Amino acid sequence: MAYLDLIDISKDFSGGRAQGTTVAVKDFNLSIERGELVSFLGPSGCGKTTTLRMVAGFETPSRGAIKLNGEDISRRPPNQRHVGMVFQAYALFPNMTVADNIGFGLRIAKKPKEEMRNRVDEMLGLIRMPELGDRYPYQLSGGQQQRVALARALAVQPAVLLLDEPLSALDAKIRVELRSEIRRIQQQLGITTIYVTHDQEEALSISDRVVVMNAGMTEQVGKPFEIYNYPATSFVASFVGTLNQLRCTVADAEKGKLAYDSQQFTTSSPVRGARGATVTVMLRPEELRFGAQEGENSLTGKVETVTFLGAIVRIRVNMGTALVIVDALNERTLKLPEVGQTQTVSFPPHACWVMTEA
Amino acid sequence: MSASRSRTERLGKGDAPRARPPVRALSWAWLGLLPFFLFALAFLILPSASIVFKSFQGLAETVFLKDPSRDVVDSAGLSRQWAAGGRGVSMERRGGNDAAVNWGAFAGSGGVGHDAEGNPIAGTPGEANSIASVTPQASPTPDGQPRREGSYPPRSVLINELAWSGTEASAAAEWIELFNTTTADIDLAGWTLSDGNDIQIDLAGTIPAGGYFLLERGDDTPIADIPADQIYSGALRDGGLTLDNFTELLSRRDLMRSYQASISISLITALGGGLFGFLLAYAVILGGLPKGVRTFMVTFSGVASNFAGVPLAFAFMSTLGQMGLITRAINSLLDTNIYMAGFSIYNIWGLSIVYMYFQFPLMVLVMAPALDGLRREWREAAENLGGTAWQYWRHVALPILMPSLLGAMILLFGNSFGAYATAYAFAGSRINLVTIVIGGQITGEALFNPGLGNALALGMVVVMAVCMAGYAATQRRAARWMR
Amino acid sequence: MKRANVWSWVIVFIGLVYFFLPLVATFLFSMRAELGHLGFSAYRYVFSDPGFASNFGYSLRWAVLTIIASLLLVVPTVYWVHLRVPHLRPVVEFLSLFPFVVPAVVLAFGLIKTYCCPPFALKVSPALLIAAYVILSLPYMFRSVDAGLRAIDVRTLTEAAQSLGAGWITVLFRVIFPNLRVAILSGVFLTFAIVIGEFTFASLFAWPAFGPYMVLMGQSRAYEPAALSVVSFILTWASIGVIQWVGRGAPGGAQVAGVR
Repeated sequence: MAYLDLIDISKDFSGGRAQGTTVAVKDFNLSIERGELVSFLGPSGCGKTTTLRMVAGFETPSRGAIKLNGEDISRRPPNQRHVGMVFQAYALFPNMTVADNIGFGLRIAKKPKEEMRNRVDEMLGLIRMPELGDRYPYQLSGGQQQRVALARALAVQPAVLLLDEPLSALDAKIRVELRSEIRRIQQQLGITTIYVTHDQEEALSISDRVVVMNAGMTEQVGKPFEIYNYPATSFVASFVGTLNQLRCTVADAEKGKLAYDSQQFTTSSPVRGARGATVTVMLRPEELRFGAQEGENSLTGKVETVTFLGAIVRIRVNMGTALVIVDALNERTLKLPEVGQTQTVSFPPHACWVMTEA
Repeated sequence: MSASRSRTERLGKGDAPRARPPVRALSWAWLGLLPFFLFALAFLILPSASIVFKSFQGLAETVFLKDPSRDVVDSAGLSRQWAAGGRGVSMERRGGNDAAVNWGAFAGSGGVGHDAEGNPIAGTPGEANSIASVTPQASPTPDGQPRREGSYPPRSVLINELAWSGTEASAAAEWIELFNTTTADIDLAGWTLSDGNDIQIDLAGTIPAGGYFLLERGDDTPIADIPADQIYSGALRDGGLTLDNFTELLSRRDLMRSYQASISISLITALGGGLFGFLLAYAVILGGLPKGVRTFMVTFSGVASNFAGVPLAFAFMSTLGQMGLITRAINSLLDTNIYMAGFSIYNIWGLSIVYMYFQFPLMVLVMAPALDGLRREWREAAENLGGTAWQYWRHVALPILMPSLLGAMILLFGNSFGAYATAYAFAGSRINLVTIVIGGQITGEALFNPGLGNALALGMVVVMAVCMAGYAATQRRAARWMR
Repeated sequence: MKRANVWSWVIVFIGLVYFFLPLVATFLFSMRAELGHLGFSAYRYVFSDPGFASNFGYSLRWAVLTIIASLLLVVPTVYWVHLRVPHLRPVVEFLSLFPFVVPAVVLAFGLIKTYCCPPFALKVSPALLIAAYVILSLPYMFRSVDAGLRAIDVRTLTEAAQSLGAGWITVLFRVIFPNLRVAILSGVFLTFAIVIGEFTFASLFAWPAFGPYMVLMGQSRAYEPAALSVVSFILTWASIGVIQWVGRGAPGGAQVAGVR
């Protein structure tokens, strides 16, 4: 039995006479171990926030159950669930100081003053803002407010921590700093956490596991490395990271030989499908290299754009029926290809990831 | 080198707000607001300033000298202003009748006598005025009325000199000098000198032909070294800047009651209207009602808050007046005449019920945006941290709403305090409210003292200004938190 | 709160009763002019009364003059404040809120005492009355136009237009005014509603208008005042209705109005 179980969760919204019923979440199943950080990743409207809010108790599942440590909490009101929530818009109480905000849950639970004060100080130390206890929210920056929101949720020692796109309202630089802060605190406290985001870099960098969702359905659940390198569906493959997709025909299924236009290449494992069937081959840009290599597949085309992104140089090569993106790591002595020149691109067989759907 | 340095300097200041425009452009920019400022000056600032200024202006008074047949022989101060003189300086008659041009201040030299502290008197009590007066000729009566048999001709005895602001020693040490312009001694028994207020003197003694008669106030000390022919009591009111109007205002029971009534109604409707209006706003915005209800209520609130004034009064007369529908319904259903039982829409409570009609909607209109500003996440965060709905309201929502609530109620108070048309439509000038009294001032129902009317108006403005200041302060608070 | 509260409905019901009862009572009262049955004779009397047409006509005149004067005064001023002298905004805003600080009666008192006597013989022409009405309409006009200008970010629009070669007149009439249409209309109709029903200034300055006419009716007739009240209510409702309809979708807040 996992620590937190979501069993067959579904949520329907009746959107009024004009819209009929919208299915926001469909047959969601997930078991989360104690101390795990699981991310819900997906585009807007995919149901990740709705699922989170069902765990928090702000939405009631149309079907299914939520079990926390064996107990069914599906019907419990939100103020009795003992889960801590951090909102996208911080939701700090503007009429209270930072210290009062953090201590709010303790005050509700009628903890003695001494204990409250100690706990608030402890939390301020945890988020590394020990002298800001007397400030009001409007006097803090966005990042500071979010840290306070986190401290407030953690002060009551909840069983589960829920974060609803906590960093999307912040600057890029702060986002990167804060997400490692959140991960550090989460690991330090060992608290079970669900983290909702649409930013795949965020999800990949801090999670133990990632749940990729789309239109209410779960596309894939797995470790970040798996999600990225072994995407289960084409949606996951294209949503997470940049992806090249080549439509090829099967030349030899047993030997994993595929034909693309007039060019042929080999994959590392047999391909499912009859000869002549159409398959999609997915290639990550960083696994493609310039120039022909011994023992590797190669494709030739014309360079269309060269974009210098800093650490990475991104080149678009026109292969005729597809634009292939190649990412090369920056080097000082790197010689960038010219726009319009003919360029050969090579990749090892194991870099191919084949999807049999058309 | 210097060119590039100045460029660097300018660059260094680059992150300051954009460079101040040259002075010429700035003054030209102000010009664009000139029409508005002129308008505001002429029609807002000037009238208000005149109210403030005139409320500090005291009322001088007129003193009448009457012979035994009660005809006015002479007067001083007919124009309701002392034409000349001041503290310690007497006002002398220069000739002719009691017009402002015929009075002048003591010329400065040739004074006689000393006051209680030994300072020389700036005047000529008991002697000819410092500038010789012209002997008046017989002329028609001062007020054009026919004289009775046996009465004295006008200006046979003159009020020749007045020290209406006393002596250098004391402003209360006032004195009056009479002058006999005839060629015969006059026995002053039966003559009176009065200001229609606190000076009512029955004169006693004889004034010699071409001679003087000196009256001193209180005792013989105003002019210490010249004995008075008569002592009198009562003050000659000074014009000029005084607080008299305000002290009088505070002493007038009827006016104080009008303030009391206005404030009572305003408090009742601010609190009552505030409370119910808030509940209504809450019900409509956060109460889970269909969206159409909210739109309707907000529109209707706009209408209702504008429906004030005369039509509202008529509406309530039709409803709760003596012949009103509700009155009659209660009469027939419960067999009680509420007017017999003491109810009336013309008293404070009745009028409050009427005023509520535009106070509720105003509250709804003002509180709606504030309630909208209550973010859903605050409630969810409070619930998430274990709070019940009541705890959320007590610790989070009400404190957040408090500035807006208070501000709105202050607005309601001011709104009710300044209301005029509704009350007037009910009972004309018979209802005793501050606004009605002031309105009466304009239509001629005299308080006799224009300064008093101004003081009344100023009192209103002060109350309203305090209200607006309070409102602005609460709004700033609310805005700061909501950032 | 998703759950529709019983109490919410109760309160709304009480509110509606309180608001509609006087209206219904007034209407019923106005119909009682004929003994025994309900009829419109009170209305017939009112509409055929020459006093009604003439006084209402006067009020219309005052309303139109006020609207024109107010627009001419307020719109350029607010535009100028937004564009050139934003630091003077608090001053202008304070002045526009004057009617809330100085109630109508007091202002009337001050205006009369200042302008009654020579050299200001302003009682001969209705200029003083119109000026007073403009003052009454200031807060709403100012707020309307101000909100409208803020919503369209005047500065940027003006700069964009100028960078494309437009002169001042073009900017004003082709860019600014069309975008202010809603705001101006809101202010106009609110001013209209206020002036039509206004009583205080009209009666104290002794000018004919609808308000004093209503009071006169109230002193001499029994049922006609109620009819006038109903007419006035319909007018007010129509004005506010137009404002709401015109302001559909436009980012305008609810208009606040006070008592007169």
